[in-house]
Amino acid sequence: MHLDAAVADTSALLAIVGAMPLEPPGADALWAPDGALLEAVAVLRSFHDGRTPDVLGDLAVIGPMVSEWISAHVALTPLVDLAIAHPDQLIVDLTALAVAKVTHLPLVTGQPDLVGLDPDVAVVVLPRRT
Amino acid sequence: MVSVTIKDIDPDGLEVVTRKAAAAGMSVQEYLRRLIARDAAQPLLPNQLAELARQRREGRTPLSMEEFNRIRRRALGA
Repeated sequence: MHLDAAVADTSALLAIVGAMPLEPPGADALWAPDGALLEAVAVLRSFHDGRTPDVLGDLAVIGPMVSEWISAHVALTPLVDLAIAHPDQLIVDLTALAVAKVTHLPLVTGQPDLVGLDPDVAVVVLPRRT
Repeated sequence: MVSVTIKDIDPDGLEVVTRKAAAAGMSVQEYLRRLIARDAAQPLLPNQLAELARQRREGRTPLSMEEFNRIRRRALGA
């Protein structure tokens, strides 16, 4: 599915560089919460066994593909609502969902369990890479 | 910092670069170092970026979703 614009969570960002078993997000413009970037650093550190040039190389590709890095602050109210309603979900995932809600954009993700958590947000689950 | 050895340089091209470096008051090494830094600072075009992403995906063994979630929870101290 090709989208004009979408919010990407950590899994979608990492799909861009093949760190996740997912097709990369197909959108002309990607927005992402800045928390997803921090989490991507943590995951890539482990994925590359601490090899700095490999981590930086992936981030150098991911970074320019994101048009806007959004602070969680802009989505604070829906984030708190989601965090209270879904205490078992990681807060970074809920932040992506909350950012999608306030920007009125769909969320692209590799995590099917985010579907339906907020009825106002369209969640596009990236297909598994074959 | 890393070092680069470049083979099969066209001697005429190298002579031009040597003259340009001398005119700028630099060694060839310093001239090329600045050339690389300037080029690296240029933003990639969308098609170049997409190609770079495709190259990085190719041949990689991705994390499983379970590994991904385990790393994330560990990073959060959860």
